[in-house]
Amino acid sequence: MSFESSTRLRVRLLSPAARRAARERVLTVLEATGRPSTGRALDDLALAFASFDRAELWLALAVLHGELPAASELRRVRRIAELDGPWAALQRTLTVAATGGVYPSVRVVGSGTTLLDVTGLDSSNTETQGRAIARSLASEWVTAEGVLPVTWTANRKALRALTAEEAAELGYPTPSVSASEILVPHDAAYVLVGTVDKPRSSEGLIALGQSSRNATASIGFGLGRLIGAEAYRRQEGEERFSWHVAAQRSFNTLVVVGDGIMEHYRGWERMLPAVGFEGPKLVDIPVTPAADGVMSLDDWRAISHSVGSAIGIYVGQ
Amino acid sequence: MATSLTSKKPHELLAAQADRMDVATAYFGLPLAEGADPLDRTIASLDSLVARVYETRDNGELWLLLTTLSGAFPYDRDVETALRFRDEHDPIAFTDWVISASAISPSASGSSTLPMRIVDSVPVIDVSSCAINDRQTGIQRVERETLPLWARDHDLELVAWARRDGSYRSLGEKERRRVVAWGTHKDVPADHVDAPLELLVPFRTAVVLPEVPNHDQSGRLRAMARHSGNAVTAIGYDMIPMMSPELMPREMGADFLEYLGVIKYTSAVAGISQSATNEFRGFFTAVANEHPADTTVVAVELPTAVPEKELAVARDNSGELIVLCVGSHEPRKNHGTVLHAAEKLWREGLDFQLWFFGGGGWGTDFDDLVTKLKRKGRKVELRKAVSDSVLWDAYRRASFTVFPSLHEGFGLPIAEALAFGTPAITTNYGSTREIAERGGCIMVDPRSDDEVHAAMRQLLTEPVIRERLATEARAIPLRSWDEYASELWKVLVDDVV
Repeated sequence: MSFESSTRLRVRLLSPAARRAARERVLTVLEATGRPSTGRALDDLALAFASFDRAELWLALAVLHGELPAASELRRVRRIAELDGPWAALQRTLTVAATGGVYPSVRVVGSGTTLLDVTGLDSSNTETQGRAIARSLASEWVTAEGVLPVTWTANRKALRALTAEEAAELGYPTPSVSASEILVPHDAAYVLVGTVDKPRSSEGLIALGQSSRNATASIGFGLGRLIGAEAYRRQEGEERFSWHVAAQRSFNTLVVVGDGIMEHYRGWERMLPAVGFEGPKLVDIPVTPAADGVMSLDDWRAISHSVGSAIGIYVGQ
Repeated sequence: MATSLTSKKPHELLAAQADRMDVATAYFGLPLAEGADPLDRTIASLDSLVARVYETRDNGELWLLLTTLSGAFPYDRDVETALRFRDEHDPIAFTDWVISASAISPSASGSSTLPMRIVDSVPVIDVSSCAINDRQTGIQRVERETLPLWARDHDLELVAWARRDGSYRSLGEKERRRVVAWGTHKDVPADHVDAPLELLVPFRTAVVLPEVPNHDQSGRLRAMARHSGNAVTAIGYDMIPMMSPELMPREMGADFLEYLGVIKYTSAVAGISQSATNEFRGFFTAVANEHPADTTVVAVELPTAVPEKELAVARDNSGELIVLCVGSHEPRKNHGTVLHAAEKLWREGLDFQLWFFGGGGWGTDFDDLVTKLKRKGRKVELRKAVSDSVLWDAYRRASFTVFPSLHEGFGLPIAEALAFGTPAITTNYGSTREIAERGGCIMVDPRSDDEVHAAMRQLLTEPVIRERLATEARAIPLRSWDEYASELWKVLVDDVV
């Protein structure tokens, strides 16, 4: 049986709900990549698969799977397409998409929007100076036009908007986007202001930085958890922080916010050639604690604006 | 009536502690305690030792006292508490604290019953992993080539961690042979009786770490490096667990990060390549503000690990084209890219064999891909456990090797292939680039399927290029283990003590 026949058969064997969801996602891919839609969704997608560039393939997998793909899956699908054609790649993609059994709707978030990843900024985590600054920055920015605070789904594979409760806890307005939708940025901006130290999420971000058509930036509050791990108790999982830093490695910009921690990243930058990466552009925004430990509102706003400008949140302002 | 082990053990522990106190007392030239009761002897020795430690304010002597009392190297927190008592209290309060610390040993792994010996005149080399198991991967190979040369040329003390990781101990004969006479350790007769093991305490000497210790060992080594007066030095292999978590088995990085807490306090680190050295220099840059260090970080590049007699045998690659790929099958080695390129080339009609030599692996679909290719009749050969001689023979027969690793500290398979005059395709950055720049190689972006495919195609179809690269490879001067061992000794021992 040809890959085309077996792919069509697999689609026919899907439950009606799964088939509807798959069709919806296929149409989303075609629309987001500007490919023609003739009404024969599967054929249109197969045709599109044959000509997808790297970023379009990333987008297609993100939408069809409803999760940010890892680099290994992107590679696998690209190789299947190259060796056995678009129908084989499509078969692989649809098989993976069907494994979850649930099909939340997927929304492609496009140009003009910044997804602000606030994972880990809630009160369930130990308070640190870096987290306090991150929370303040995020609070400042979510009121800016086009900034959408996001976090990860329970399986750590996809981005979603915050629930009303999560937003309230962080002091943000009630989100306009449903938390039940999967969000896939394309030609948008992704800014990591929180901490993503779960391996699967980090793998998704590594591929997003390497393969998608999004601008990517993050805030660096120091590498103490890596380079001073002996000061942490082992159960705090300091080694997982290396996943957060690995994700930052593939971003465009890393804004270092703090007092005297730029050296952490200069050292890290010196290690990157061994892995074959240039690393992100480093921008230093020193934040020196005021003598009384309290920063004036004006000073704080200025820092927030500097950081926001460096990562593209305040474009043209 | 038989005495149970549990009723006997406290007495043994007390006696061993008293014996250790005697060793330390004698070491400092203090009068030895008299009497038969171990507790009395310990208390008598304690008086004079504590008085000395309080008076000299020498942190190393304090570290030695804690080690002597407990039979285990103390952790940072043990030494810091002791320092606080020494520096902030009068001699009586300090003595009281030391006595209480001796009653509850500073570490759960203390109270060894082994007799203690202080090693201060020769360097101490920690060969724990190499001594106790038969693994023969990169780090063990470095140790098993270097340490016999060091043992030939210098006096030294090889040590391993005691079973509960609290302290160093001497080696048994089989363990010693695993390190300095690899291959003969199996000849040790089953009825061989080792000399009694000793607890070995390095003091004011060099302590060399040629392998990466585990989490608990690192906690003790950090205190040793900070406080004992020993110059702790290390071979720096790479920063893979910190820099490339996606290329490591999950959650394997904790030991390494703890090890970096030791590296911070070392006197010297010898990187195995310029790239690895730069990684360690980057680490010291990163910690410079919080921890200004005067650690020497230099490159002492690994040699090419091929015996001369093997190199004297002529290459025999006149038969079918053979592509050789050496290494374990894990994401970092990037073998999936080689398989993909090979399949494209087979489909293009090229005829060649693809050999994978290397055992183990994790986290890839390598085995599945190989099975599928074999089902198609592709000429893929998989050898999981090969002896050195089989590997050398493969290098001689291979048309070229492919080593598109994503992160390496050195890249031994490339250096070995070139030593045999076998061309190579390898990664265009990091340590493999350093090796490749000497000639005999085509460099590729290992993340580019197209580049790997194009390079393999070129070497399969253009014998002239293969021959040119082989000629270049043969012209590369070979670095010997003797040179490496000698340079390494200078950096890690001579220059620090």
